[in-house]
Amino acid sequence: MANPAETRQSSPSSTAHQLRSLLVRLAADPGDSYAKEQPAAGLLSALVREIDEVILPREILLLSDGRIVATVIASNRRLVDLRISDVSMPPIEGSPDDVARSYAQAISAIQERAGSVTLQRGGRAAQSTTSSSACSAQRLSDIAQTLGQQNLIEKFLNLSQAQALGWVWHQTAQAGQRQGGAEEVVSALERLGVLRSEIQSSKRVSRQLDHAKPSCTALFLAPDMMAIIATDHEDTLMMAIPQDKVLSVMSGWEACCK
Amino acid sequence: MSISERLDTMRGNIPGCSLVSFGDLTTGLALRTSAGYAHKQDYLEDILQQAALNFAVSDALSAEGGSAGPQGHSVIVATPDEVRIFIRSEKCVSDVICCVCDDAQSVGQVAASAHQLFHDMVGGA
Repeated sequence: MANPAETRQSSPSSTAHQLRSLLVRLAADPGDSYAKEQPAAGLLSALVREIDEVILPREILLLSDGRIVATVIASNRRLVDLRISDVSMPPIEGSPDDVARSYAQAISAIQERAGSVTLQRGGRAAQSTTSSSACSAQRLSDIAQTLGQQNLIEKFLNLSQAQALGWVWHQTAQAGQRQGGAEEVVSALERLGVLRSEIQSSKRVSRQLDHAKPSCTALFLAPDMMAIIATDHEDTLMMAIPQDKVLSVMSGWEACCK
Repeated sequence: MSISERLDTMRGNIPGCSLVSFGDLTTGLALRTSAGYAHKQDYLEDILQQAALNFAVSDALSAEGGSAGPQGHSVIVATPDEVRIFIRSEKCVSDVICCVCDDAQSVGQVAASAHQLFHDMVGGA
């Protein structure tokens, strides 16, 4: 399948709109453009816009309290390097989506650590590197949207954890697994995950129903205990809760989805 | 009262309920349905498959736990668009009622109505 960045075509009206936006932003004081607190998705969106406008190798600085916390090197509308404390990220192996996800997660982590982060256009970059760890602005944008949705599971866990007897969170292949609670409950949840995969692969289960939608399922786990299985894209969170907490936990899920 | 009429009554009595279907988990067939608007048969079969999968997982866990028979006769699936509440018969575990609601708060009412329906179907009424 072709990379969306390679196949993207602009209509004359959208090109005119992009050009107008670019001129407005170029005319503005660079220090004012992003000098306000913004969530990670907002920072990523702003960064994607910057990268998308870079042709010749250029630095984009991420500042916190006037101090440079990271430097992005962009070239040819691609992110080619991310330097945190003057150290480049190690080469990222995997698919283009994996590369983009690593950059997006690293940038989100910078935002979380630093709090308020602003962007500033830097000078020309010393060299144009076109490593395999480069990723297009479009792919970074696509992954940034996915990251925003993944927060749903984290939000749900934070909200429900106090009611859980144990939980297991299978994140993306790169991020691995997190868990908490009593050991025997975690073991039961891991067994539930195995059984569910086995049964799912042996049954004719529609791929269309709830495709790409987050969902939360409550089912029997053990006497007086229910399992909650929340999924969103590649993330799956399994929790064990007392049976009388089901409605409260499901209400929490519904609130997180709003 | 026929099953279809019972399903209509059930849908009318449960707040935020847009669909009630009586189906068979073994065959995956929706046998009777009451809904505010027509649903594709594929959708009805898909949600029955979803019910069958989740009850099968519950049953496998029950069996591993040393239980004499199936336990756990309710499943709730919440998506951003709707909440599906599945209640199966305790006596005939392939009989299932699928309810599509706005939220999960009606699960108690759905379960009570479904179990009454199952009871009446086997001649308890």
